[in-house]
Amino acid sequence: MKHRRFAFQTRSQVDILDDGYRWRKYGEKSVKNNKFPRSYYRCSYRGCNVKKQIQRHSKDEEIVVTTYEGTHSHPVEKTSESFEQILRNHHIYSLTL
Amino acid sequence: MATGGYSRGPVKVVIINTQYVETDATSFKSVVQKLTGKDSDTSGPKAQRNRHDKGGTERSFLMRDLSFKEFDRLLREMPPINDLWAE
Repeated sequence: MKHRRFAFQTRSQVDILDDGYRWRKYGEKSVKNNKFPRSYYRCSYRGCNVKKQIQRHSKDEEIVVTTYEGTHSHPVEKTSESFEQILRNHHIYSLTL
Repeated sequence: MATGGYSRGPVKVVIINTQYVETDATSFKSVVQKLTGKDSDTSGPKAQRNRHDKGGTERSFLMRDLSFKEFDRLLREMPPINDLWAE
């Protein structure tokens, strides 16, 4: 049986980055060689079994490591993302062109 | 325990492959959805072809899945420019 995990490393002061999904925390424990604990979350959509863990990087505190396991069984909820947010994303997108 | 084996059924082996992804905070959301979302291709992002690719090269993940119709709507609903960039 094969499991795929994606460990995202992101420079951020915020631990919980918005990924468009809703989560419920089900655990926290301290980790060896790291002064920050690791938190465990499960996707709160009924029937979806995606999990994620959030943890500060052991060697670089400015980086948060978000590790996902699984694929969502449902689409992202269309929240009312503010128009300014969409435009801000587009502004950054157009800078990459 | 007595000597000799005890039966516990077939051994289950789980292989966990961890792929490391670096993103900045802004593109985090779209990349996460691309890799863990419902329509994600299990063979990974490289194998995916952009649905809206009009023959151009693949760019960033941002706004990739926004169809032209949606983008048109966004532009039409735009508030006045002055409101947007107010301090």
